[in-house]
Amino acid sequence: MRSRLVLSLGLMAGLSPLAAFAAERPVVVELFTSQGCNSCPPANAYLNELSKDRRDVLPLAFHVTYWDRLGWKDPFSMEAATDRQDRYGHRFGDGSYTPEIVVDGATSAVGSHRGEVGSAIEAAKHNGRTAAAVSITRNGGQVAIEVGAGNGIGKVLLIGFDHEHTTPISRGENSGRTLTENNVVRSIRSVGQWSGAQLRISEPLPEGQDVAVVLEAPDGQIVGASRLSGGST
Amino acid sequence: MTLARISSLVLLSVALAPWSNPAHAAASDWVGDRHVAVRLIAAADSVGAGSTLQAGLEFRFAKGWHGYWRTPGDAGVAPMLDWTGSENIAREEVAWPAPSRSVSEDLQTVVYDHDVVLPLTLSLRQPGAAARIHLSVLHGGCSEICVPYQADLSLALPAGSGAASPEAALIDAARKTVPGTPASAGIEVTGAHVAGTATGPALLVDLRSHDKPFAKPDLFVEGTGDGIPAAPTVELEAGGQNAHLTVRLPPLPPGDRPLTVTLTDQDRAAEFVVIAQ
Repeated sequence: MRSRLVLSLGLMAGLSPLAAFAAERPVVVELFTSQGCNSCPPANAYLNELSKDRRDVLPLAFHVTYWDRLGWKDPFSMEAATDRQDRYGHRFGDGSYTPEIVVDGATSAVGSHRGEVGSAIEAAKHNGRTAAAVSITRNGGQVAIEVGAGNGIGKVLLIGFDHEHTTPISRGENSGRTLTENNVVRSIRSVGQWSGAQLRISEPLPEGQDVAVVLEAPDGQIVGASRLSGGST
Repeated sequence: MTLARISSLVLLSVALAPWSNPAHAAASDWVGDRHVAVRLIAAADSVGAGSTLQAGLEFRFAKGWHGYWRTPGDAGVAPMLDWTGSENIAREEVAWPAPSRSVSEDLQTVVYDHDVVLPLTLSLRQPGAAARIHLSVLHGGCSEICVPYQADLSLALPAGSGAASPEAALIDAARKTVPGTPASAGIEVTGAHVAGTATGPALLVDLRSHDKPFAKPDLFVEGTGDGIPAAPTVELEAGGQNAHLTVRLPPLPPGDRPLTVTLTDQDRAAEFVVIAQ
């Protein structure tokens, strides 16, 4: 119902249905990072800016685990982040490294290359694929996810994230240096398969202060996204 | 086609090498990519009568790339070595050539930003018998990105005369860059103690050079926790023959605590221990 309404509004405004959807959903910007990586702070700073300033993007910081086994235990690292980046690494043929930013599951760039990432975000805003509208509402301890009708199939990923963490750089001397990181992903899991028909899912709130839902096509591209809170943190 | 032809040529030359070249290479293949790669080398092409083998872990870094020292600092990761699978080797000792300091975005890291050989001393279970060095290395290489690398390196050495290999010179040269005693570097430590200051504890080190004057001395202090303190403030006196260095330290728990201090100054390096009380 709702998706049909959005569709007709889009048509009324003289836009193609695709453009109507594309304008609706945020562009998903995934940063793969680690506190053990000394090339990462510039990319973290960039993601922090996107988190604060932009409502048209959904920035998410995934902390990978592969630096942990070399001695730096990142408190926010998750195997799921490492696995997700590994799949991207195979698709893009560039392996796993930090900091890496993937835009809409379609373009990969060095996380500190603002120009390149910025262009990818603009390209995704105008030409990104959107298969269906996604919405999230909270009912007590549950989240209700709705994926509208559309064309294609995709995985529905439920993502929990924290708005901001400030971590003391405990390995250093006592100059009070800290690292501030925004939109730190705390959990990600697949909660359903969408195959074109409208889909409603109810799930317990995931770990994390805020919630995002991403619709991922079989080729790894992101074709739908939404977040629970209004936008910038 | 071309590729296949090249690899068969390589195979052919490898197979011929032991006959065509009496002092044949004692080195594993390079493992890595065009940015960072690592291999094992040995100072002899066979195991002679001695009770130890001299070997090396050689890292190659492309311009703009670096790897890490044993204590990497605020971020970064030291190489992790796993010797499982080695044969006829009882004990391994790794030496660390003098590193350099890198500071970016307030993070202190201790790095190798040029090719480096970590000298290895391997004790044999049975001198004179064949040995195999098998080493799994997990390490990180960074430029504007950091890449995790895993290398499985293997080098078999037959029983033999233990004659020097072509790689022996690389290992010898690397040994000379491993910090030794201050005296061996022409330096005298005239004072070294930890004192409380208004901003917290500090390590105060007084040095005299019996050789050329000090230029830009740095101190890497290990044992204060996981990180590495920032570079010292340096006062030079007597035309640079004397140096007074002050390193701010994090708060230390009570009790005696040995601090390992690595001093570097251009091509000189030395290591000594200071007990913080």
